[in-house]
Amino acid sequence: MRELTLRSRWAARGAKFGSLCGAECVESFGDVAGELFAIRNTAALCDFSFSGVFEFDEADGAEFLDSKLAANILKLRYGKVIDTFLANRAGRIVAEVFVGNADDKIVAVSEQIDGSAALELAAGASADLSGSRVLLSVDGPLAWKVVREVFGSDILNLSFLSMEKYDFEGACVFLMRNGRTGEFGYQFLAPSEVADSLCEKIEAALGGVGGRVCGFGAHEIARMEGNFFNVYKEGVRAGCPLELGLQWMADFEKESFSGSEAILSKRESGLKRRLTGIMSSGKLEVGCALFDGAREVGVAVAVSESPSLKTNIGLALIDAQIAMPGVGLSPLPGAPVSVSTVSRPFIVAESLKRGMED
Amino acid sequence: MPIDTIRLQKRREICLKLKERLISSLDIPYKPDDISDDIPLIGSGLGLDSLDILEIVLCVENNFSVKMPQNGMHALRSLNTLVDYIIQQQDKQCAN
Repeated sequence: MRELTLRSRWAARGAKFGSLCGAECVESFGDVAGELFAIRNTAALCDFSFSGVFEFDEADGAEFLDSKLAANILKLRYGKVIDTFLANRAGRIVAEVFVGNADDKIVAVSEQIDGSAALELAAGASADLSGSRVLLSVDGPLAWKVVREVFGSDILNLSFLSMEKYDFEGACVFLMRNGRTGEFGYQFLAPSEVADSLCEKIEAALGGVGGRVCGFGAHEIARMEGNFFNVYKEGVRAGCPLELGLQWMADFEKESFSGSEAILSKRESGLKRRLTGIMSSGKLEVGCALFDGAREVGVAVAVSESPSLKTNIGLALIDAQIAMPGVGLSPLPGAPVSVSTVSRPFIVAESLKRGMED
Repeated sequence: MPIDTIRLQKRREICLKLKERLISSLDIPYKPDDISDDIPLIGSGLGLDSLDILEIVLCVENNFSVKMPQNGMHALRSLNTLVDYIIQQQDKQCAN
């Protein structure tokens, strides 16, 4: 298993470690609700170095990635980031990939559920940087203040899905604005050699806004609440990008991409199920069937308690005919309604209310 | 409790009409079926910017006879939250 570069730093703060597709991750620091509270109200730092990081030479790399990924990578402009996916031959998602164009390089950061995804990306990369870079995410309504403290006011000009190169102690650090919680979110991609000192600086800035470190567990809840795709949850259990509602990550006009034949064939025949947000008065389990009276109409593919909303939330694949908000369902045939379909995102993000105001 | 099919049908119609109008006015390169009802409108998803927001507001006001509030960002979080807002406002109009 690939160990985190900052393992000892996190261990000293009480981290509980887990693993994601062969890479170590921090699940939590023992207080998931408190960590989520920081994401929603101040700012939280999370180590995303479990992600795969691949570097490509600009011209060849763009063509290679375009042949594999669903989005049109050839249209990726300098300083911009594309959020897309890698599918296998059967058309199932195996990775969510952020591709950024900076300098004369293209950088791909992937969250993968399948070892083959990393191999497929590595095959065309000029370098696999997964073990030699750290990826640190700062998210929250005050995340911009934390990042401004590190790199200066220039970062306020960084728009969503953009990236910029910064110098930190003589090392090249990429800053991407690609939050996935609904709040302001930035990711620092930095060489391992400066990981500790960068982290020190970020944590000092976090202290200034009342923020804290957090594990990926809190992030996963924030993603669900904020209507952001999680390849490790609904990605694994649903698989089909169309049922997951991720058509926006794909360019159906381009010639082909990995898995495009199966995906386009399904697109042609129409969808029988669609991913839908659910709220439940009782606790639900993943895989739990959902009923309209006696008729089975769906299945829960991701569930969580939402400390922000103080209720159970989840995502279910629901019969496309009724996959919309306002439908009452039950987890047992003929049982009273205890689950309702709802609009996503589940929350109104604090960043939307506050904006970037001192 | 049976599913309220009339209400679902109304929602389906509003949602489809909204998708068709947005595709046409914002030149979105997808078919209505490719647009998930929960798709985020701003940032990720449709990736619309602040100028596009004005187009959305005009689209809603012109096609659904619903006035968008000055600070209506919460309704623009996703297509579904926008449809929620339209239905809520239309229901209010019917009640008056």
